[in-house]
Amino acid sequence: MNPSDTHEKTVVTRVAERHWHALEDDLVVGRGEASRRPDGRVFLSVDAWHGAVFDHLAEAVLRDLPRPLYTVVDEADLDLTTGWLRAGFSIRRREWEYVVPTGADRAPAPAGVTMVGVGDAAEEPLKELDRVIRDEVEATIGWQEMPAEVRSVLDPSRYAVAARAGDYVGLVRVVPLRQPRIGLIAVRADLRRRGIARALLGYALGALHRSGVATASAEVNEANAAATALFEGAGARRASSNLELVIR
Amino acid sequence: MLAHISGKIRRNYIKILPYDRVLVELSPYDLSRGRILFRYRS
Repeated sequence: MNPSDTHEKTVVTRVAERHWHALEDDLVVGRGEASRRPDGRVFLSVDAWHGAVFDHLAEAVLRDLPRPLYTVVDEADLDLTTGWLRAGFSIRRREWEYVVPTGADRAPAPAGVTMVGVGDAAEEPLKELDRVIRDEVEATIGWQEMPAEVRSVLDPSRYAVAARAGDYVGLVRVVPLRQPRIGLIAVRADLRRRGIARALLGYALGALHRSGVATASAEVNEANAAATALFEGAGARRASSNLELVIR
Repeated sequence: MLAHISGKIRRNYIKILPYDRVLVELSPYDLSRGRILFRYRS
């Protein structure tokens, strides 16, 4: 790859299709990287020890890639946030990172709804429910409003399901980590506002509590009032916030 | 030494918790500053 930018002694080089290095005297003093999410959007990250190097890297990356481009920053990281805003990005949305206790008392499932434990759901009905929910999301707010990546490959071992009259009507995905993450919780559109999501979340948190886990984490779009109410109603507290930035 | 999370880790929503084993890159300008590049599976 050829050097693409110089300023004083900082040289920015595109070392691979989606990787850039900032060099000073043959020492890597900054890195830029781009990756594509399942929804097709390209997200950037730039790490540099000095603001001037960040600016060189950001300029080179933005010159080399088509827009729109996105990035995610910790809202408390003022230097990084300022750097991206200086590069021309603007704030698209805010996500709250919640920490949810697993030990609180949980509401029972609504009448007629039963819970199928994590890993116990039948694969085909689960896939059908996943497809229905994806279609509903794509027809309404779209996956771009969802925090993080939305996996297109279904791993039944990570899902608990709410069933009603033999049909799967809601799901919750729990990512098994040291602090487990509630990756997705969703209910069919025609059966919302009946307490099914609350019961699913409570069921998942109860299972984690029984396995000795004290807290779980989740990311919620600030604009998603229903999800915010769901998690805060379960005792979740805001631990931090991320900003999704975009340049068009 | 104070280390912050790299953009790649932030972008992938990887959480760093107490007692996690991580790979840290030291700043060539200030050895008391670092950047967390990777979190090892415990």
